[in-house]
Amino acid sequence: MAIREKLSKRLIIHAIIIFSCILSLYPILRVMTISLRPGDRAFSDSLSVVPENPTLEAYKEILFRKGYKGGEARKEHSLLRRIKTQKIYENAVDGKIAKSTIEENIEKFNTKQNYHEKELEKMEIKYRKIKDENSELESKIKANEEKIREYKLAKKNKAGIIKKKEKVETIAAKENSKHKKLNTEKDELQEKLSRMSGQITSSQELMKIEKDLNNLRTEISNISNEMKKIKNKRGYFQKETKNYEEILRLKEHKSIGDIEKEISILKNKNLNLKDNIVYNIRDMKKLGQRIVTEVERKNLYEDEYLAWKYALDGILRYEDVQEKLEQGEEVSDPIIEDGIINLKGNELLREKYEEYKNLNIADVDEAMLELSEKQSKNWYKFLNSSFWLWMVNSVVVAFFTVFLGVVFSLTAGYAFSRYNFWGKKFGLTFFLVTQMFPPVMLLLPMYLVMSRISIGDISWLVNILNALRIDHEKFEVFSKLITIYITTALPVCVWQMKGYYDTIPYSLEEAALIDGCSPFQAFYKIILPLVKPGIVVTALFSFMAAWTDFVVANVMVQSEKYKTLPLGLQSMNGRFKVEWANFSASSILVMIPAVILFMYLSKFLVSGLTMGGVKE
Amino acid sequence: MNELRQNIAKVSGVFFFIMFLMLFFERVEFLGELLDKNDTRNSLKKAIKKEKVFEESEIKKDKDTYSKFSRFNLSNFTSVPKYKKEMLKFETVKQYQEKETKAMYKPNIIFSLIVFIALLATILIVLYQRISVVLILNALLTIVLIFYDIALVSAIKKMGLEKTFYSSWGVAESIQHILNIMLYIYIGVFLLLNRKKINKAKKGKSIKENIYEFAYSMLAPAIIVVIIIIVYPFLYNFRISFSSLNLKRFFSFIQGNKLSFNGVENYVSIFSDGLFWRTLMRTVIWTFTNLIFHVIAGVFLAIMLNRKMNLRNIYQPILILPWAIPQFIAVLVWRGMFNTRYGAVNLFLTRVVKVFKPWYQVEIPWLTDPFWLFTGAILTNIWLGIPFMMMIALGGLQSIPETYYEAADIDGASSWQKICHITIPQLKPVMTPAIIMGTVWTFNNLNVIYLLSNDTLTGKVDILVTYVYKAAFNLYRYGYAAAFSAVIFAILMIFSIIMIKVSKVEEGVR
Repeated sequence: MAIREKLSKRLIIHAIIIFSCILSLYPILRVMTISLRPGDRAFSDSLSVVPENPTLEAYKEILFRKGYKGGEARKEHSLLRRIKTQKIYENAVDGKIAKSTIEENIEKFNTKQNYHEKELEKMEIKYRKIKDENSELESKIKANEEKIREYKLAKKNKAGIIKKKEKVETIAAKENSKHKKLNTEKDELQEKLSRMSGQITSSQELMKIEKDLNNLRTEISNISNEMKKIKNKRGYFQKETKNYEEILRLKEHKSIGDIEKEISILKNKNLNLKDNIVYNIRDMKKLGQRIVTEVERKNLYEDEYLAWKYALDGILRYEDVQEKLEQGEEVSDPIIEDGIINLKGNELLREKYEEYKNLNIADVDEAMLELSEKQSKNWYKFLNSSFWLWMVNSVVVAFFTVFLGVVFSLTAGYAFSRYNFWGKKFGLTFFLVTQMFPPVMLLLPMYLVMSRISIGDISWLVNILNALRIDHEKFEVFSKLITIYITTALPVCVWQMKGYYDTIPYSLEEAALIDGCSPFQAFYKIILPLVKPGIVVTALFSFMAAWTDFVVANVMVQSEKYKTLPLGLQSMNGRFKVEWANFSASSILVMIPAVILFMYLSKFLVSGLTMGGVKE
Repeated sequence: MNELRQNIAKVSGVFFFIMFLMLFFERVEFLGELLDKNDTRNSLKKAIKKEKVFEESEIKKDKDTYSKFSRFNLSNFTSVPKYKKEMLKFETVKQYQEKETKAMYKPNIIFSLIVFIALLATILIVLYQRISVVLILNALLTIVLIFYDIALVSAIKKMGLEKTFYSSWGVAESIQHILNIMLYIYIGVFLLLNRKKINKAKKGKSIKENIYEFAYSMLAPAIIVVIIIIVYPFLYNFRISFSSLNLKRFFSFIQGNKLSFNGVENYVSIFSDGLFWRTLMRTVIWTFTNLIFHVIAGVFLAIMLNRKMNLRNIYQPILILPWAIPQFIAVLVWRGMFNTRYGAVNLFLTRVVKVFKPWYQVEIPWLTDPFWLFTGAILTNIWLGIPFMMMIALGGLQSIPETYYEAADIDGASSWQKICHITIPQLKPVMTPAIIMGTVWTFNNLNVIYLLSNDTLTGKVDILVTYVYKAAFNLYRYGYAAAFSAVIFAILMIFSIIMIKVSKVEEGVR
């Protein structure tokens, strides 16, 4: 526009756009605030976007604490403990350790464990106390703020307040009279009802009277509903009148100077309270850290205690068996049933067992310490969290979808763009028509066919996968997912690539062909480097198809191990109970990379989505 | 005639090649069956027997050592600690597995060689399209195949299964070998005889024809994938729709039984049910309300944005944001906002209502009442879909030359007239395909209603697509769902054919 518009018009346009910006931003900001609230206060009545006392608790919990890996660390601990019990047991049987020392150790570790438990309990009680204090302080602050508001109202002129009070009083009186009226009506109707029900004499009249009765009942219910509403109204207005009365009293008893003084006093009080809250939060943080360390220590002593105790049990039983054998009774291996190491097909544990088998008791202790230290570190927690597991699954699936989708659409799009051949129009419209398939239409037959095929039955593939150290179940689930994602992504990718090739003039290849290139060389050496941005966008599109899909994964993935991110998120958002803070934190973590990618590449996307040829 | 013959030769070469691949797969499957059926149990038993002998000797050793070192009398104590037993068993089983893999090692390596060669072959055929290449590959493959069979035979001999092997498998395969070799010889002779003619034909070929073939070869990988992944399931869907497959028959279906033919019963039950017509009406309402809001709001915002003004670089990305967020997250976020007590929507409404009726608390049951859930879903989808239309309208607006507007200014047109007579007609060719695609996408939008209703209120808020999804995967009525989705597809096809004919988008597809 050459001429600048008027200021008022510009302002209106800005206002409209800002309004729609707020609409499009608000849900996202709301999720952000919920994710920044501490978990027990995720629900609140405020609509504001700025959270009070923001914490990163939810993010920490998502990234570090919520572990799903089949409890591998726990299993390793118990493995170590069992090895230790065996060692102690064997040493005791050989006579290297006396029974009395074992008993002493048991007592020692038991007392230590008890001590830490008591400490923990104390700390938790303290933590709770501080939390309660904080909530009390907050309620106090709220009460003070209300008082301040009242005082401020009281400062205004008297006549206005009296007018307002009168208005409110009249409304309250009106509602009261309405309520009384309705009450009398209701009583009358109920009397009628009771009379009618007493009147029934013959069966012919019964039908008529029943109809009347039903009508009466509905009327009564209507009236009682209205009464409920009026009750709410009445209560509200009565409160208001009381408020105004108090304000007026304030006005009469105190001068304006006094009121101002009171306001300043209240404000000071509020400031002090807020300071207290901040101190309390600091204390809570410190306490939280101490609690974590205490729990770790407790776990360590628990392990030791259990090891010694199990060893003692084994020895006692062994002695029992000896006695029985000496007396000549038959015994079928009773002792070591508990000492068996359970190695159910877990290769990691098997390897670990081989490692630890030949260690001394002291070395086992050291290994235990190392393990617990490793567990307390953040990277270990992060790598064992379920969020990480889902993320890796999603990334693997998305990567292969992108790769295959791009490779197939590169060549096909080129052919569609450059050459006229028999079946071109049909092919292009077919790719368009696939967009019209309802999602179930391809998913259902694919699901049925795939449920017939399982890779576990094909022994050579399983062997090859084992040689490559790939879990064949994982391979199966992911390959099924990837094939279905390609069906959704491929047609759009082909269209998009066709649009990009269309923007590049054909004369480039003609020159190359005349210079002696083969057609494939012309494609590979000249055109491919030119469509790099197009490839990036196509990749983005198929990436989004795989990254954001919920529907397909919901059908194809049954086990917890192979869940993708959307599935994991949905499992957090259950039907009856929702972990709001955690859910919103994780959704923001998923959102961020997709949003950044999308924003960066959105310019290219549009030109692809206008369906190539249509735009020109 | 020459060209015809040449083409026949080419096609037959490719055909043989594919046949070879089929043969490999057959063989491999057969081998897997053999292994599963007979071998594993027997050899496991053998391994366990050996283990027992080994174990007993170990026990003797243990006894000796214990009696030397311990102060207890162990003369009657016969059992080894059980954890040691477990370890022993495990080791032997592992050894057995290793043996098995070693036996299968040669055939496996040869098989992977075959797959590698096949991949190479497809690439080479695509690039050079020469019969000689096909020929050489055929020769290579036959040789490798023979080696493969020899390796298989030796592996099977090692496992002691010669009888079953020769009776059922060997004869048919050897006949196939002979046939292959004969065909190979036939092609060779054919080519040798017609060599000169073929060379002449090659030289006489124009560049255009070459390119014509090149186009097909470029298309080949995508087309093969599409046929396997899209066309086959598409046709199979119709096959299922005429069967009575459900949860009851699903198990036998997995085990390989055939589908039971059901006639058009599924279709009859769909059309005779009132639920179908109701959901159809709901779907129509859903698509059209959504689309109207998308297009109007999108074009409106695009017109607002398409001017020189401050802060445009900030406004535009914020307005696209709903499009950038993964759909399932957006829907789940809105599900949180629709909470009755703490949801932002109800809280906001109470704030608004409090201006007029301060005693009133808005408690709209967004997630439990069908009507409100449906309106909530529409709201969510409107929020999600506006940016797409806006961006496309922006793209269209930027391609309108400014001279039109200048001419209109000179003629004294008001801004409203400019929009009516310049902007909208110019936008039409850009917007119509987007609108058609948008209709199809909203019609097929499964995420919003499915995730918002979260499996509740089935049949009361569902549109066609979510209803099918629930019928297939929550109620396990596979045949019914297949028929239903075929009906949906037919509806969409009719709609889009009419739209394309009316709006003449076809010209876009050059």
